[in-house]
Amino acid sequence: MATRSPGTDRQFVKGAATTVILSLLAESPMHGYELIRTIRDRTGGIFEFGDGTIYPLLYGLRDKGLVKSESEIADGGRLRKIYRLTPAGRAALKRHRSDWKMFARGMALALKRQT
Amino acid sequence: MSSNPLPLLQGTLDLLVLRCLSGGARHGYAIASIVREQTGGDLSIEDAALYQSLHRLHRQHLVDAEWGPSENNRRARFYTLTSAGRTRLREETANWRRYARAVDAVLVGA
Repeated sequence: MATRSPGTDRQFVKGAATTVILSLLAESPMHGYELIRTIRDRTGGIFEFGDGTIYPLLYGLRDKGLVKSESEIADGGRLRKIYRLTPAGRAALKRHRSDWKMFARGMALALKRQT
Repeated sequence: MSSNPLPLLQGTLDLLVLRCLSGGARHGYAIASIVREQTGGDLSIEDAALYQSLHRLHRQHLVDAEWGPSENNRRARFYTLTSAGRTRLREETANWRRYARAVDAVLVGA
């Protein structure tokens, strides 16, 4: 990310990464590369998740039973995994969304421009 | 308002502390109560995390610390923003707004 304080941005992003992934997989199942591209497009490039970020997050979500993966054969005969939300993942997304709303509302109040 | 405030990440915590100090010198306890009040209890800062944040910001010369008497006449460490701290506050506020827009842009689709 092009910013003068990457440390803080990384912290911010880490906080919402799970919410972002669950939310996109709720729209439609995707494979890892699609997820990376969709995140970049949807955020106008503000979030750039690389392979090294997205896969560990996906594996973590899978271990928690929030997403499941299925193998499919991609063009060229390579196997790739497509990820979809489980019912537990949907429930987790609901919690994450309401946490985010509360957090963003709190931050907006705290950072309100002084009049 | 809420009984269940959210834990804060280091980046947002430091930003809240800087923001609080932009209103003048404060001691640690005052910072925590200001954040809680301003956000209707949505956000709350734990003592240990708050002092870690103040040390971190002090080490980076973003805040100055000085001893002074508190309201009840105890000695307390008062923190103020340095000019580097003011610059950082502006940058991090802009970063946060960008970040929040990005998350909202993703969540709006689901």
